[in-house]
Amino acid sequence: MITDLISARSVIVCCGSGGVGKTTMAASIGLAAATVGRKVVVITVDPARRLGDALGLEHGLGADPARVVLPNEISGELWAMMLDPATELERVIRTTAVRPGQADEALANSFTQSISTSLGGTQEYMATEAVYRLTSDGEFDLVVVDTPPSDRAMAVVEAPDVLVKFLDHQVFKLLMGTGGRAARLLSAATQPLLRAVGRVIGSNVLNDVVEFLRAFTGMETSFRQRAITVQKMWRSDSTAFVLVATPTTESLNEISRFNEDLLSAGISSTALIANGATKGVAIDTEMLDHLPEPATEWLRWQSELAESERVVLNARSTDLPEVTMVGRLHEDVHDVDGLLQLADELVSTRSRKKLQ
Amino acid sequence: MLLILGKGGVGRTTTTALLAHGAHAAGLRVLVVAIDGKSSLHRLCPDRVDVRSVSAGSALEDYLLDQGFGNFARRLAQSGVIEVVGAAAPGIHDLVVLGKVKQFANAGQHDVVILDAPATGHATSMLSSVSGLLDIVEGGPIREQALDVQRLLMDADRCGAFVVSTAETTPVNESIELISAIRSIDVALAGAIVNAVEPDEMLVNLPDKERSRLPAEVAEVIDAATARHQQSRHNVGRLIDALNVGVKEVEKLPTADLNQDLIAKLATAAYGEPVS
Repeated sequence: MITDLISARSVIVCCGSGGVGKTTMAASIGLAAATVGRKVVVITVDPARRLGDALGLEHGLGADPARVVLPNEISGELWAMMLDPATELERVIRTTAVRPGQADEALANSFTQSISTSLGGTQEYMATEAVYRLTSDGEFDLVVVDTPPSDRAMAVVEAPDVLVKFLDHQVFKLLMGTGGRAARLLSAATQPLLRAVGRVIGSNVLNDVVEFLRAFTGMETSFRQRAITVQKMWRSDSTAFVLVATPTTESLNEISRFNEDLLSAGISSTALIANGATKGVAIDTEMLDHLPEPATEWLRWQSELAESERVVLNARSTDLPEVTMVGRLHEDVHDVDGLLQLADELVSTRSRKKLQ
Repeated sequence: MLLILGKGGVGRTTTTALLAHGAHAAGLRVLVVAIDGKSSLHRLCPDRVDVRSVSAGSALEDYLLDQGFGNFARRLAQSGVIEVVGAAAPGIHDLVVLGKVKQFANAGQHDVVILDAPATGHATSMLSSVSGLLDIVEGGPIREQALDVQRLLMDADRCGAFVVSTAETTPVNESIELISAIRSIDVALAGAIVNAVEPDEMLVNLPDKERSRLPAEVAEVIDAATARHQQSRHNVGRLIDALNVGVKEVEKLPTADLNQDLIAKLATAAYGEPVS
């Protein structure tokens, strides 16, 4: 299943809760695609120092793609970058400004920089801008996206919808002063309320917000257009959503709820990776006879856990896609070789509807 | 009030449930609060423990409603303007969430309120946002609210942070960073739990003679587990050094399906038999 994705798709989005190994999986998927000859960029949204180290990137992950040194026999290329919302916002403002000096004005606004980190949804929206940029300039065959933990990942998917809704909303037009007569009529009723909001949070804060929005006047058309393009991109056949979970009830329930959210947004996920599966050791009775009691007990414990994981995976929601199992690692991945092993496991593991 | 903090995937929710079982078994009236709902706490906590969910999105709307803004608050929320306003005063969302939890804590209906906080990065910024907000907002109801929440958070007799980790290297590193972050915002440390400790010590004294008889594949798995065990011991040692409060270890059970009964069992192992 993963094998098909890495050779055919142009965007792969990895989703899952925190701590399930999503970033490492994204890097391995990227590497697997590079081994079949593609030019791949992996973009991670969370500060992932360890990923930078594992990829041998001297200066860590930056806001621009950096090329990863791979063994000679690999014909493709792997690049990696980390989303920096502030840099991305600046890029977007510079490319969408509609009059000279507007970009500088918008960037000079005291909120423009702070907003990229503190406005709920901005970071997620900037992720979609970055993915849009990377896919549309044609430099890469495949963009692998490592999303924030699943409680915020839907915000990435929905960011374009939220923006379009916001731009189309009466209150926004009113704040921008672009709403025409109807909005001005509305304004008579809403201004006192806005002032009341100002009393709660401080009127200086509210004035700054209005100033901030006005600095962007005229840019909304192109913001809107791109948002609509990204909406379509998430739902197109060349994009795949890969879910990452651990083989436990807790994690599978979580990913299943996330999958439902995806489905209601009109997106079906394509693969499910069960990461960190316990290797069941085949125990024969003769072997047990020769082992001291504690070691026997330990082996039984392992098998019991492996069996329990198997049961839990088989009982997973029928809405979830086929499972690819990835065994638990003995140590953290700390270099390209480690990632290559994982990549091998991802493409060689036969995915099964029912595990034996 | 107990704040349960830790990085994603270390079992914060399980620990929240475990402490709820422990406190309930000790005869306390327990309230468990989950942020942004959809949590499995209902399934994992004892039936007679109250579980409530607070959503960051609706808390600000609720707050404005409380302040007498009526339907306008709802309209602002729907338009996205409320988000922009929230960003203009960073931390306002976190403040109203903590404000809600504070309300629960002050209501007096429970002896202990356990908050299943968001993952590490967000949790510490959530706690520090209160003092950040106090720097920007000079007066009015938001400032009052922030001062109230700050008083509760910093009152070591009433509020404490509980750090959750596993014994692996990265989670322990992050937990140690978390511990210093908690200290820097003057919230008291109430304890730490190391989750999912595997029974690898069973293997430590496996004689070479026995080992050599094992199939290569099995020997390899056993070697890896032994190495992991040593690493875990070292990591737990580092965590203990970083803390001046007790560290409790909770064993991993050989199951992928933790449920209420199993967590009750773990709670008994950690905190003793229920009082009758």
